[in-house]
Amino acid sequence: MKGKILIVDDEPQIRRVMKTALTAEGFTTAEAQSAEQAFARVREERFDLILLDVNMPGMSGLEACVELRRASDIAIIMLTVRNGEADKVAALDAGADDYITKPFSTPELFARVRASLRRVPYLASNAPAHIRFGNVEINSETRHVTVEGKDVRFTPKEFDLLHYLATHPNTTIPHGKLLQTVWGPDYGNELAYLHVFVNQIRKKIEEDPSQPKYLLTELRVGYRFALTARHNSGDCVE
Amino acid sequence: MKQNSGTIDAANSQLQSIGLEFLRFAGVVTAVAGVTALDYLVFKINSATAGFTFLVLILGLATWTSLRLSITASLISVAAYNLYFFPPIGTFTIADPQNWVALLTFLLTAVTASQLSSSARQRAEEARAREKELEAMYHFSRALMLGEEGLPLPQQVLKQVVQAFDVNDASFYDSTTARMSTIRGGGSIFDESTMTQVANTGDVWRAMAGKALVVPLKLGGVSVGSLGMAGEAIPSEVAVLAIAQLVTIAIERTRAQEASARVEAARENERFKSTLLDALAHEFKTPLTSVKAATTTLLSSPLNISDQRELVTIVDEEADRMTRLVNDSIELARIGSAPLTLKREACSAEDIVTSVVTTVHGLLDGRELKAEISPDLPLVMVDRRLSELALGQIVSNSLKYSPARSEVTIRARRKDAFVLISVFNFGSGIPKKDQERIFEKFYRAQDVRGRVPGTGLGLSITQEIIVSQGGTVLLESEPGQGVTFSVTLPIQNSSRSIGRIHTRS
Repeated sequence: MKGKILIVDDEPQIRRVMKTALTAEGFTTAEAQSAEQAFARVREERFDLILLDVNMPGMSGLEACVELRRASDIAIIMLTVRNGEADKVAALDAGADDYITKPFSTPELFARVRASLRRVPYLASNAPAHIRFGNVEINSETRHVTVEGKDVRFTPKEFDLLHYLATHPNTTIPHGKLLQTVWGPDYGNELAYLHVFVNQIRKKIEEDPSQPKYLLTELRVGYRFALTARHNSGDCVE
Repeated sequence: MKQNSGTIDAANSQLQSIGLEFLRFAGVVTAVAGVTALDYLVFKINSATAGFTFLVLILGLATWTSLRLSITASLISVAAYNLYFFPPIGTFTIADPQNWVALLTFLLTAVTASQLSSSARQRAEEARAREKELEAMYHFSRALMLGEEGLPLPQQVLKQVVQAFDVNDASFYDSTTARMSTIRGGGSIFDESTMTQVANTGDVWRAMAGKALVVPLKLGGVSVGSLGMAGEAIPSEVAVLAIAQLVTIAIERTRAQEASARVEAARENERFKSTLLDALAHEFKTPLTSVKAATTTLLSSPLNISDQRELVTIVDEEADRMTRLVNDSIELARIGSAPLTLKREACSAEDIVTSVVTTVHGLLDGRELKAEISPDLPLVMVDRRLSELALGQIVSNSLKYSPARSEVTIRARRKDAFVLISVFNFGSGIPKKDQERIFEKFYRAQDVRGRVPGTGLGLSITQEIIVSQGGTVLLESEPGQGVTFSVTLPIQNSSRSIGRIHTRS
């Protein structure tokens, strides 16, 4: 079993086809017709990923995503109809890990599902179990981040991105490299993703997100995580 | 025959005017004779005083009648004066040369006073006429500017001209359309060639001693037509030219209005197309998504037979759905952009409801659509295809805007001269502010706009169809209590079945 996926869409035919396709691909699926039903399902059982339609009567997919994010770091892929930049950013801003534009081919859907379920194999690298800078502490094993001693919720992709940057400090990492490492080999040009995720992370770890001290932008190249000895304060623990 | 009677009429009126002139002359003679008799026989006054009494009579005539009559009275008075007051009395001979001077002075005074008094009267009359003309002009311009709903401009101009001025015949020629309009059968006075000529050359055409005039209508030096007037007392040429100016302004205004109406219509049409296109793109993406996902899975994943069958079934169903969508959108576009034409025939209301229930089956998603149809429903007199489309819009709306799994009921029963079809859902209700506007073209309730695909056309078209057939569409909704749409279809052979025929303007 590859994972358990909740399909949330008001269109019965789309649910039918996705259920068949995902089941054939080895996933377990469950369905919900509306955001409200989805909340009920999520409360009852654990899912690995939610496919969430943006356009639904009642509570919209975007509102539902924000609501789901409040309580869970489950991977969420939004299904959108419009292909505009603003809609993509709105989906990512709402807390989605990824989005896919209707109509889509199932191999593309599978790739995105795999990317969202994928966790960066940081344990294989020689990453430290704890990284500390300023008031922030990252626990690589439990995937928890605390700021000023308080637990701060990170989505899986946010965590992977922060973790990768923090374990490769003081070098400029190009956009493409970041996308491929965190999202997977099928990604590389989706700069909008990076901007949204970097902004989310800055909001969580920086004192002043508009003037970041750690997560720095290298214009038109990529991002650099600034860790000095002072920041580090020698607290890195293997 | 007609010409003969015309000649006789003319001869008659000539005789009449000769008789009238003779009567007036006799009156003057009588008046002079009366004054003479009073002076000579009754009061026996002297010659100097008698002269004054004659002058008073002549001045009176000059003021109240015409110059001609007062001059005539002057001459007769000179004769009577001479005859009865200058010796030798009873003859026209004048003995004293001084009396010659007196008589000549009298004649001169009489004629001069007559002329002065008469010209004063004429001026007063002219002033009165001008005042009347001005007043008429004011009324004319006002009437023309206010306009009359639905009356074409030529008819409007002619009607106002005849109403405001003392005009028997009036013609209007429009250079743009090259059409001439005439009021009160004046076709014999202004022919089209005269009107065209005036419009082309810009010169005023005068006939019948100033009783017929054709003036050009010019706008910024460009001729836009001509206006003709004929009658016993038509306004002066200056006034007619001023009227022409007013008419020209009215023409310009009407053209500007027509142009802006055309622009507005074009804009509306543009909006219609883009909204429809936008909505269609949304509506089509849903079945397209299912088809694309199904076919790509079939092509890329190893599937067992039952999964393959399932996916092909979905493709097949979605293809049907797209066909319906195409047909419906063609229908919507056709109805939305042109006046409605109904093909009404007697048909079964039950069949209409059943057919709608079958059509929306694909939208049900496991939900229940209950149909409660009274037995023995009468035949209705409607356009069957359009009625199904209208009812289908209401049912699919009721499904679209109510919670998943909630039930929708459709009920049909007879009510007076109609078959009443009600559709109930258990949606969250429609807010009052949206209820009033929900039948407006392109209007969509605030909370679904941009989320649930739709054109905002369905209900406006539904209403148009139902009302055109003489029926009504009613919406009842309380917040949280669901929504009821009620539609009436007129039954066959009912006296009340002919309703207001609604056409888009």
